[in-house]
Amino acid sequence: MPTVSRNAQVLRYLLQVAPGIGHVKLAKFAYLADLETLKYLGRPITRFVYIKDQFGPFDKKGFFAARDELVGAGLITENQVQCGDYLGFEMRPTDQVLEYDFTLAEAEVLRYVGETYLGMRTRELCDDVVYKTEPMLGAVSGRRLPMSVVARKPGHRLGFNLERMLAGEESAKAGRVQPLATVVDGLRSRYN
Amino acid sequence: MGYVLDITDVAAEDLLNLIESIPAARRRDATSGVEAALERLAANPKLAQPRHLARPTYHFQFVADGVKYHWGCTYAFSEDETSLHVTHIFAVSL
Repeated sequence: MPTVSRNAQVLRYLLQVAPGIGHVKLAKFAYLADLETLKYLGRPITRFVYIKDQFGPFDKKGFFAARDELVGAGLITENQVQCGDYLGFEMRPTDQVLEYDFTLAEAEVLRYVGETYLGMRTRELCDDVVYKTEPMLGAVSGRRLPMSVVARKPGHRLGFNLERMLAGEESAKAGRVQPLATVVDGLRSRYN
Repeated sequence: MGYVLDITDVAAEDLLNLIESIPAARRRDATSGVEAALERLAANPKLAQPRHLARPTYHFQFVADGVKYHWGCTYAFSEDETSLHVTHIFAVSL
């Protein structure tokens, strides 16, 4: 089984959720996934270093290195396709198995990003979503984006926690539930 | 029509931790406040909004011993869509 870099794993996973997308959309998906993991987990999911490029946040060198890695390992295919007046690329995962090292929360963020934005046109995705993200506001062309502005700040220790929410969902699926009334009665008996 | 209201083991632990995090004199009121809020949600799940990776999320307030608290929860419906499972309960930062 091939092993690839973290960046390549992210792109491959996104292509499994959203097969057939092109370079721009895939790069934007990775960026949006980084924002979500920074927000919820306090760390980005990729190792990309985002610069404000002509079409928004992009780590050109990192992105194409990861793409080349995937193509070289036979994990994705890339085909040139006509997109209106210009030539674009369409990338798809192959059947080759890849073992990912994502946590449950990271995988859920990738699934969410891929499924949520798959139906959007690239222009719409850029204009309505990506260009309005916090690191892009006030960003300077050619300069590194301040991704840390979205990172989770130390808040209430019992504040929203993505990992706990997902654990709760797993519990629900496994039937580890009880009536609220039972739990509340138990609490009341403690505080009499 | 309302839904049967269940809570997962994870959310039950969240609730216990939250209740235990506040002064003892307020815990009974807080328990009742959460119960009332979650019952309102079960009666009308549309009170929730999609947040946190599009999960239905309900923010609610209650007063315990004169102090206002802002907490929230996420939920999921059971497969047969008759029950609402509370999956996580948390404090809301304002």
